[in-house]
Amino acid sequence: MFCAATMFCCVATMLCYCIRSLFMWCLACRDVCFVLYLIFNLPVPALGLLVPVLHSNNGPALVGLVTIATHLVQEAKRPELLGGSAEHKALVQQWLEYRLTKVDGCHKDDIKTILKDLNSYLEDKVYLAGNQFTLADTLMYYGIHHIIVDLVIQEKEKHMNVTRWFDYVQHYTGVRHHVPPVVVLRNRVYTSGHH
Amino acid sequence: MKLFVSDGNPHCVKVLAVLEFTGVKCDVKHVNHEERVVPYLSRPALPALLLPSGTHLFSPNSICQYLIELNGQESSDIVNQWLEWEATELQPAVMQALHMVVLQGKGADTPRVLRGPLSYLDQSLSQRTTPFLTAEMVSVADVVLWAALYPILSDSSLVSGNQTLQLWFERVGMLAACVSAVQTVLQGKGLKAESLKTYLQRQPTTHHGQGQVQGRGTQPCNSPEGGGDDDCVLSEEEIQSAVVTWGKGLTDLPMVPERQHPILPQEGKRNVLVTSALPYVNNVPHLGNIIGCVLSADVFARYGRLRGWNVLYVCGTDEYGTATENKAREEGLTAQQICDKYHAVHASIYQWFQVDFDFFGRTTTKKQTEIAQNIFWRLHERGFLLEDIVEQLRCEACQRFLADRFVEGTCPFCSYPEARGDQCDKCGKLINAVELREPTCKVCSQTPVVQSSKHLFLDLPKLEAELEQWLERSTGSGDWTANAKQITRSWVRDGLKPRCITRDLKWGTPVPHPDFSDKVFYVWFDAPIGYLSITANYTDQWEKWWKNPQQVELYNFMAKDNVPFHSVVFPCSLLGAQDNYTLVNHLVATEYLNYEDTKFSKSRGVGVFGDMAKDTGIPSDVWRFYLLYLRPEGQDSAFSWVDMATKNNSELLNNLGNFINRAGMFVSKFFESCVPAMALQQEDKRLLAQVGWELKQYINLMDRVKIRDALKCILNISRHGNQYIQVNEPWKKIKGDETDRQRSGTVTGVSVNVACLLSVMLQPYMPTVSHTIRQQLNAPPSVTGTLLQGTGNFVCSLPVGHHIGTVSPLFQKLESEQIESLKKRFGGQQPEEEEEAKPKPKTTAQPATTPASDPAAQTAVNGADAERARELTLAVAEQGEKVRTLKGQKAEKTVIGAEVTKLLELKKQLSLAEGKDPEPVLTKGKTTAQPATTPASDPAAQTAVNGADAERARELTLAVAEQGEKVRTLKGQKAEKTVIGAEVTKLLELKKQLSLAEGKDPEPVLTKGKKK
Repeated sequence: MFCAATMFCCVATMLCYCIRSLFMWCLACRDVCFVLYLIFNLPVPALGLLVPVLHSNNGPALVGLVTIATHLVQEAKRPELLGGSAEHKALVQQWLEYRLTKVDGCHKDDIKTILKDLNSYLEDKVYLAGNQFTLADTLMYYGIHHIIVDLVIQEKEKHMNVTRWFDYVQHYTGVRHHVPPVVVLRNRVYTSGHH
Repeated sequence: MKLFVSDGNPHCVKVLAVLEFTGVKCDVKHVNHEERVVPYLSRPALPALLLPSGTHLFSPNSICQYLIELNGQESSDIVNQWLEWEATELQPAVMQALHMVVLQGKGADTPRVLRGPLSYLDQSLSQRTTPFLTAEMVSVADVVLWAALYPILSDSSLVSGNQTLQLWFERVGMLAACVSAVQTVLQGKGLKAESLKTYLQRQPTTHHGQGQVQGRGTQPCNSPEGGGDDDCVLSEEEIQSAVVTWGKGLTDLPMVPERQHPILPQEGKRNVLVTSALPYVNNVPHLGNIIGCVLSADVFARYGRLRGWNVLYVCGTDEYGTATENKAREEGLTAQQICDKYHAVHASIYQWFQVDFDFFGRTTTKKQTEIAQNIFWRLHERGFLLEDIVEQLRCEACQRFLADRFVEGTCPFCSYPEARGDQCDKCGKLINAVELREPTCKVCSQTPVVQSSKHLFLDLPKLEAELEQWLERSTGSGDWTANAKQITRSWVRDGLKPRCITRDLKWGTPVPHPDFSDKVFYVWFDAPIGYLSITANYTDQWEKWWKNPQQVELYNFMAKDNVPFHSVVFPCSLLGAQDNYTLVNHLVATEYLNYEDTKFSKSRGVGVFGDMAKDTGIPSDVWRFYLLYLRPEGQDSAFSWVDMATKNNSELLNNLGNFINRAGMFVSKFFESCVPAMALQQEDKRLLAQVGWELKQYINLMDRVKIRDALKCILNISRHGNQYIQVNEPWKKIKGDETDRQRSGTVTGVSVNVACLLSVMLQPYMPTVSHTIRQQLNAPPSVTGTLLQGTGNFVCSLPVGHHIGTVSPLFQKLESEQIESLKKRFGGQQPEEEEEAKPKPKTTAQPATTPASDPAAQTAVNGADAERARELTLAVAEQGEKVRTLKGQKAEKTVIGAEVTKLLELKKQLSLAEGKDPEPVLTKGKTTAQPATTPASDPAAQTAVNGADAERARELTLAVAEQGEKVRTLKGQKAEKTVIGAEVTKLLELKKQLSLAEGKDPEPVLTKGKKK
């Protein structure tokens, strides 16, 4: 159940880290790597299966995408990515969990609900935890990318707030990486819902 | 801060335990499982924490972390790791186990799904030296995991082995916070708590698998939207309950009794009094008048009757006033003669439109005088009338005082030159006629002079407080449209002034006061009293409706210009009269209906007037449908001939009519007119639930008088129905083996029952069509009285073995020539110019952007062309459907031929717009498969498409559209040329197949296209 490619990471010194395997297997591990890239600006390796594990020099191995990502962010002294206030921290954790439990492995019948809910949540927000870009945005972006890519223009317009948020995030420095960009139209094509 | 929890929900144990553990102060509110606390989630999610900022947290673990954080503790990596494990690994397993144990009663020992997670937890605990998961002290991770496992582990029969785990569980369970949380949520009963069972029953069955993290779904979410907003997500429960409802018979449901006049309010019933604004008698009503009041009210009254309410719908002509006097002068008749003449005209128009009044009266009656004078005296006695000298405009040439609407001049507020004497059409402000600048008499164009005379005023300021109180109650509890509320609010906000209720005229209700004997009541005071007097002419017991606010709900229908008289002025008269009058509960006002983007104008001969509608040859039901389809609900709308034809042909003919006709035809053709046996499969059940959901929406919307929106639900149902038939292909299955034939029977039986339901839902909108459908299906008369009761009952109303009648098409196509000639006849030259202007840029722009010979052009499709292609794809699909419908209806060959030509033309344009030359592939196609199926030389082959091919073609059309989209997306993403190339090849192949399936040789047309 753990990622076959185990990462040995010397984050204590933040100077170097190495990844054993370079196979692109596990998307959760890929996302850990993207986070590494985002915060350390280091090139991205890729690998994986199921759940990522992080071995580091100072302490026990850590298991799980959110746990590892949170840990890395703290090590990198980028606490703002986890939210400033207690409230924002809670929101970040909530959406990280949402990505793992609702978005990952979602059935195609759930996709509509996910989009609809996110859309109404983002109605009055720039990012998932308010006006600050956080880890939640990055990981949600990677998690939801495969859904957004498949949307037709009409659906993108229907979920305008999600599309807007998605566009912000994919243009945030260091986020998109080699994930293909999704084209977002600035002007509405379908003005009224019906016919 | 506020925490919302529900009984029986194990997640609430977590948060309550942590709340008590941390001692954070927070209101706790117990709510129902179904309560949607978090506004942005479409499914109920509990527990939920309302944060001080107004945002909600819905993840139990995040709520716990937040509470801990408030308490000053930072969460560590290891705590995070356990929480993540709980959410992703443990929780799915626990939910599945609880489902099995509590709901299905399985599992004497630890359910298999839980074994892995439990032993992992046990191992982790035994490897530690600390008594708790993360430290010497209990942490949020302990509480969360303990609460998650509580229902399972508290039942000793389910736990075996895992010693360390059990010790830990007991240790955590001793915390006071945990004990009390369990007590609150599960009554300390663990698995046996009844509330836990209720909670689990409400949980939608997840699509997630067996408690392991699943690989990502890569299924795209691009199911077609099917026109309407298809937001219904059906749960297993909804499907089950739809099946239960379906199983009920008509006899299990209450029946609506026949209407018996006079209709009077009844104890224990919902007594609904419906009025529509009284049309003014001096003119023929135009379509805007009709949709604004009488027709809207008719739909609602019919709907109310189907719902089993006790409905009385009254209306009549408003006959007093100067306008009538003038008209009489013009036509050389007496005022009474004019009224008689036009009253008959109105009555016959409404009859043609099938407006089903319980009584259509008039205001020039004895009852009117009696009731108006009675109200007047009561107001007078109670001191609500004032006397004042009024300056009025008098036209010396015409020898009379000029009524407001017979003066025109410049608006004193906005300087609009054609302001009327009572109101300015431009800024909407009310005007006192003497304030008009440069007034002129509308009859003789002379300048009138100002003269003064004594008049009576209704003292509105004195009634203002009472009015506001009543308004608050009525608008708060009733269904007032937004515009009605807003107009009323602005009136009251601007402050009320005394309003004159008398006039120096002859043709009106005489003022009974001796000092004012030569005067009549002003129409605005008089006309609304018409509702009462018309009812009084209907029944002597009219007071049971009009002096009975306890039992009666009053709905007023009108266009928005009438709102202030119904929401402010008339209620003040009735409140001041202090006679327990029934006041309006629901004020339903429409916006304006324009005619082809201009105003209806009798004088300019623009627009369709009530009496001309029947001369168009278009059936009354189609008129009703189209007017209701564009009912100006929420915003102005415009009548357009072309749009009417489109809606008739696409919605009525191809969608609704096509479905009902197909359903009926299958029964009569394949099953000798007997409804076949039905063995419901999951797919059928889904349709039942989908239809049930739309029916519920329909009822919700209609109850709130959203007439136009509710019509969309009907069309959605037939769309679902068409899709259902399309997917299941009963016409093919009937030729198959026994199982296939049975399947065909089920699909046919379900479809024909949907058709029967549609006939009832249609009744308020299209009474004749509704009746025809029921006749064709030989539906039992009780369907109309039962299916719309309560929250809607989609029952199997045509049971197995039911004999249906003769099925025939319900609608006819509106041809464009017919529409063109009607458009000319009803005077709009403007629309034609527009029509001319539109297509031009498209056709000219085309060749310039895509040189067909350049292979690079394939990928060089710019955004505009992609859009154009998309439009064309839709147009092709629509045109294809049209052709198929025509063929299905066995239309004239020439007619079909013409449509096929159009289709081919569209396809050619589509190919061009997609920036590629389809010719090479198609030529290849021709040399191989083409000749065998359709000899290209035979022009008749074009029309010789059989049913099966039509279905195939339909599928292919969709496939082509989808593939086209894919190619465009790839191009938009600047994907590899080879990748795009492969997809384009697929697209071309599909198109080739489509051409073949449609039984025609695309080659000639396309070659022509190339030569150009």
